[in-house]
Amino acid sequence: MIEVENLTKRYGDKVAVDGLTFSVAPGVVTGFLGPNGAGKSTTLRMIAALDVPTSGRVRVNGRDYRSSPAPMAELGLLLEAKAVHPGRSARDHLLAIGQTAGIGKARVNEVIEMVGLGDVARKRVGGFSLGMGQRVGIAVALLGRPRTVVMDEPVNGLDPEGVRWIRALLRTLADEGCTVFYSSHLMSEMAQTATNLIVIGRGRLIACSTVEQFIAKTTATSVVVRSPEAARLRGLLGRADVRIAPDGPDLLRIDGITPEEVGTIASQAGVPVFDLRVERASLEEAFMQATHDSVEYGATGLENL
Amino acid sequence: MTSASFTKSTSPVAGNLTMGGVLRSEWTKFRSVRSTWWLLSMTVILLVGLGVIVVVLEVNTGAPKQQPPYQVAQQIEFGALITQLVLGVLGILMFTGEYGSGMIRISVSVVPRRLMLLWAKLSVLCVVVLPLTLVSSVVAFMLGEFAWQSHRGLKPVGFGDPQVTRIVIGSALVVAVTAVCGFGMGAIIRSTAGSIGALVGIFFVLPLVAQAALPRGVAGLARFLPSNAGDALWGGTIGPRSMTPWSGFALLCGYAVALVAVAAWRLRRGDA
Amino acid sequence: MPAAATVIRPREPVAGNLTMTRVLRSEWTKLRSVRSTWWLLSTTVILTVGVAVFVSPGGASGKPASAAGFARSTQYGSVLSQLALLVLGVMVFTGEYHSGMIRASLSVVPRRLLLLWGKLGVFGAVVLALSLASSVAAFVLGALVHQPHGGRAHVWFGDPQVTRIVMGAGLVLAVTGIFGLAIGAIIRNTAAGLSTIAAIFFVLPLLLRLALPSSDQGFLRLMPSNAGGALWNAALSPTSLSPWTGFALLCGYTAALVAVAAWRLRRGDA
Repeated sequence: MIEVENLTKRYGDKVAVDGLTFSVAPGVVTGFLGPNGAGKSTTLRMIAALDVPTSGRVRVNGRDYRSSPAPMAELGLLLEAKAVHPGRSARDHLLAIGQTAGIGKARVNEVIEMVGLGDVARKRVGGFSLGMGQRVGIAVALLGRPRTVVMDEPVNGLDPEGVRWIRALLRTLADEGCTVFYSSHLMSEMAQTATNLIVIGRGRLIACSTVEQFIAKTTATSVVVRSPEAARLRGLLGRADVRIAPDGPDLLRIDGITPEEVGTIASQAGVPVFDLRVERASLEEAFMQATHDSVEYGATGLENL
Repeated sequence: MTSASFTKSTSPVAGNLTMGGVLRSEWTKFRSVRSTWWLLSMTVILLVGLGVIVVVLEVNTGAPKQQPPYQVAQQIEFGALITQLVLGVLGILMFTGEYGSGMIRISVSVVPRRLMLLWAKLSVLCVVVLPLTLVSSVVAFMLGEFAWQSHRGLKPVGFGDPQVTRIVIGSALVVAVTAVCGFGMGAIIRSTAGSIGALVGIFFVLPLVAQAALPRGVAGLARFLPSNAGDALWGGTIGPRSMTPWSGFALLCGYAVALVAVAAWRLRRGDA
Repeated sequence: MPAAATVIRPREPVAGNLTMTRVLRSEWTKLRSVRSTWWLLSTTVILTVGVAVFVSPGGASGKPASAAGFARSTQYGSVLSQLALLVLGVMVFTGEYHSGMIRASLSVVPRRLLLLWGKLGVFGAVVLALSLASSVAAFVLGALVHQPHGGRAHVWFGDPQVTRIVMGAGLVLAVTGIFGLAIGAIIRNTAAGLSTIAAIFFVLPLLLRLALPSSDQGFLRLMPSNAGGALWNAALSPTSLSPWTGFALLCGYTAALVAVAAWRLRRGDA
């Protein structure tokens, strides 16, 4: 359980996080979305008591994280890959972190095997690839078997197999009752993994709901019809509350109507229909829709490639 | 990767955050980096080796003069000067190493009561450095003294002679406290380059400049510089304007305490 | 996010040939775009000039100074500020090794020595201009502040040895910075490079002076810091080299280190 109340962080004039309030429930995977520079990492750092909020407060599992007697049992954190002294082995790195909570070599070895670093655990981390460094970071987050897991871009640098593994990992953790909160830029990945969503832009909360609700609320669900008499059908449907966009010579995309209504109207008028389906927007489209006003670092076109 | 193993058991593996645990953790960090062992071996080699070499050169070139025992002891312990730099850097790296790699954020996130981290690092540093410098210093003296008295005609020098014990033990203490000063600077400045620059500037360059350049009326102030205060204890550069041995050492310790206090304040209240 | 435009028109080349001038320009951008550069450069100026203002002519001896002695006393600050330039010099290379940027740099400048000359050129030019300017400023300010109180004739550039001492202090400062750059290029690690330099420049001379029997001290004057220091000595002393010999020796050390750095950069892995 993570509760964030009125959280604000200012760096000089710049407001990185602006009055955020949300909570992350245990037992489900919650995704954390926002454009670059929206304040995601700052928020995650404040959750882990790394940065001091300008105002507001954070509670992890019901208490101030800094006062928890066994911090590693409360929160597992992945912030940046390869935040390791390059000259230290992965095993010693994990051991040093675990020892603060009395965790010994057995658990360290177990976690190293779990993330697939068994063969290189004794090598200097300086020579690790991006993906291997990422696995070290994930191992750190899992080391204390925490009740809450917070990860910033956990799939960064992982191969497809690693991505699937992370997905299974996050779901399993949630099934076991963990609070799982993670950010990602891979929308399709997040749509498959997360149940709940928190979306922020320019430091403010944009949405806090389930993935499905978020998509439904931010984008319209359309009905797509293919018919050789598309123009006629279009006339029949031309009511004030229905918007129609021609999507090819014999295709109609209709917002604000159910497929049942379309089918009934077509059948009563004798218009042949070859295809009738509902199209939902993807999470990516919903995200673009919800955040297009709050993009901090927008790219321009590709004309000058 | 296996996706099953983390589900096997949900019994807690992480215990409470204890000082003992943090100490063990810091010891692992300390011993698992190669630079630690480099710097510690250099300490021993320089502290013991330089003194012995100096005496051997002295004894074997020309006609060695009979010197008062305290001067012999000082000569043997001259390695302490460069060891101050070596262990100062070791102290600096305790924190700047973590800031450089970004690991500090992991450390602070698993030890959210941050001062525990500071005390644990400081304890590990002191527990390693103090015995090491004391032993090296005594060994240096015994070897150097052996080389000294092996030359015919030179009177042996021992711990019983005036000031000798203070110089041998004192040089080790000053080196150890310098390491603590470095530790404080590193924790405050957080950048390796900046901290080493500050350490060298304050301990080695300022005295040089002060000696050459301070106007006569305030030249006495130079004795309050950290390195001059420390030198007073074992007489690396004893001059007419130096402090008394133990008040000098007390001042050096005062600087170290002040640096660590500022470091604690900065670590506690700021962003990591 | 805007839509992808259709790109059918012929692509004009945007990347030109790799030239020395371009590498120099690139290195200048790297140097000026890091905050620590400006910190260290300001520190250099402030220390060089500041000490001259606060220090009395003649220094601790308090004796009335000769023109040369006075000029020398205005330059003591450069002993402190050479530390700032050494740090800056070391970090020219170690900064890139630390962040990993060196791999990007070498991949766009595959003729690696160009990179070394580029860095050396930019850093050398900046440091030389700055050191000379701050040495002159230190002397001028020192002369303005201290002369009236002494009641002696004005010491100025025409006086014997004054120009050599003032310019010499600046030259030594600049070459010291390049010495640092070369050490950084060889050692590639900030902490190790800085410690090595601190040992060579500040600790070893002190240690040897105190520890060695006086009969063996002749070679102390060959240490880089003492050799360089000879250039802005007020009077010839038996314990130091003659000014230009000393300076030549310092330049020789520096050139040798640059050669080692070039050799290491050229043949090894990045």
